[in-house]
Amino acid sequence: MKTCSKIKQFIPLAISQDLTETQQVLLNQHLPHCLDCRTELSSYREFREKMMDAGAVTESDTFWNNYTEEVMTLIGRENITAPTSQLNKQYLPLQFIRVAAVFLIGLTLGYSTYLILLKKPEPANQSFKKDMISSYQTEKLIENNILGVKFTPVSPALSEHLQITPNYGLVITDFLEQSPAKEMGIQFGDIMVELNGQPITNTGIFTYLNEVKKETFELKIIRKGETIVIKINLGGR
Amino acid sequence: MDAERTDLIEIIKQCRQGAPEAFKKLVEKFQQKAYGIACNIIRDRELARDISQESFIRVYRSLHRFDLNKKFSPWFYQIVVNLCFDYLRKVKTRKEVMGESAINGLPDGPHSNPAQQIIRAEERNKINNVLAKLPVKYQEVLILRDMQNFSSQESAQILNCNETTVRWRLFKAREKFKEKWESIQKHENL
Repeated sequence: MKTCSKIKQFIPLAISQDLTETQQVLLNQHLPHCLDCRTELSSYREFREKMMDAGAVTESDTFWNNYTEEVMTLIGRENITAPTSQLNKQYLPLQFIRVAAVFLIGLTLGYSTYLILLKKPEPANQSFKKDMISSYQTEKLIENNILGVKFTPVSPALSEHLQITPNYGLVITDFLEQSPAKEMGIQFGDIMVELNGQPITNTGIFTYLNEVKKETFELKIIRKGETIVIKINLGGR
Repeated sequence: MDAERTDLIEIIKQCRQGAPEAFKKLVEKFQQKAYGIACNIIRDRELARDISQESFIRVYRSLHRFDLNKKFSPWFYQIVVNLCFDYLRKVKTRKEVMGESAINGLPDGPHSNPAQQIIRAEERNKINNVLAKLPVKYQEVLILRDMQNFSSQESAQILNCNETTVRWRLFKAREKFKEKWESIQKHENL
């Protein structure tokens, strides 16, 4: 036999048939023996009746006719067309704008990724900066397919140290795959200073190599403080 | 599928094709309940009229999104309930039903005389005031289940929750309502 306190928990839901079958059976068994629970049940019933009465709203036929007409007028006034056609007319330009916006965002993101990931200087060059002329931050690496080298201008500090004319000379910072220069004995860190007796400035060396028909050149380099002349043969290119 | 549901689906299909007469039928069919719910929640008849009418306009605009395999009435009443509580959230303070409006809202029964109407109007006021003191989740179930006499299943569909949740909220709501009502009565009798 359930206690009165447990049965009382069923009462708020008993007034609207919201109990399970078992709960209803237990309540029905209990009620004839408990005046307290019967009183509780009838007070909840009374509340529900009051609520239903308070919820009832009645209006005249004229009110409802006006109500319907007002809704229909509002719909007409807003010039709302059939929902399906409205979808086509209003949503298509919107869809186009959305697609265009997504495309532009995609393009921007793609280009940014390209700039960040693919245009980034290679690690070898970064290590060179640390080893050789780390103070010289404005270097610009230039690749050349003829010698297969990467280089950077000689920094003012290094020029001063080696006692060479400022703005002359290029430091080898890296080699491309199958680099002819590497095969000819040029090493990482070598400073190219003269080509066939002409001082080397920035990219002028490659313009010279491309324009002159000679296949053999003499390249003067500075390696570990010593000046070395290397013969370059580009006959196989 | 029963005949009433088949008719309703047919009306909705015609509405989607832009037939105003079909939409008029839909309004006539649901206006009383929509207005009733709005009156119970807003407790201002003019506002309830405006908001329930706005619900029909929302329905007309979004009828193409309605899934014909589902029941229309819970979907529609959900819009009404949401609009009403949205409005209340915006204005923050709830308007109390004025005595006169409450009297006008009473059914004109053969036994009702002006004196009885005043007593009932006062009682309505009291009920509404107690109701307004409850959390929104309890107000919702009491309005739908006790004032508008929706079943627990229908209430669950309107409130977009399961039936067990509705029953649990109903249990708590009725308990709290009784508690507050009795405390007010005790205060009045002092």
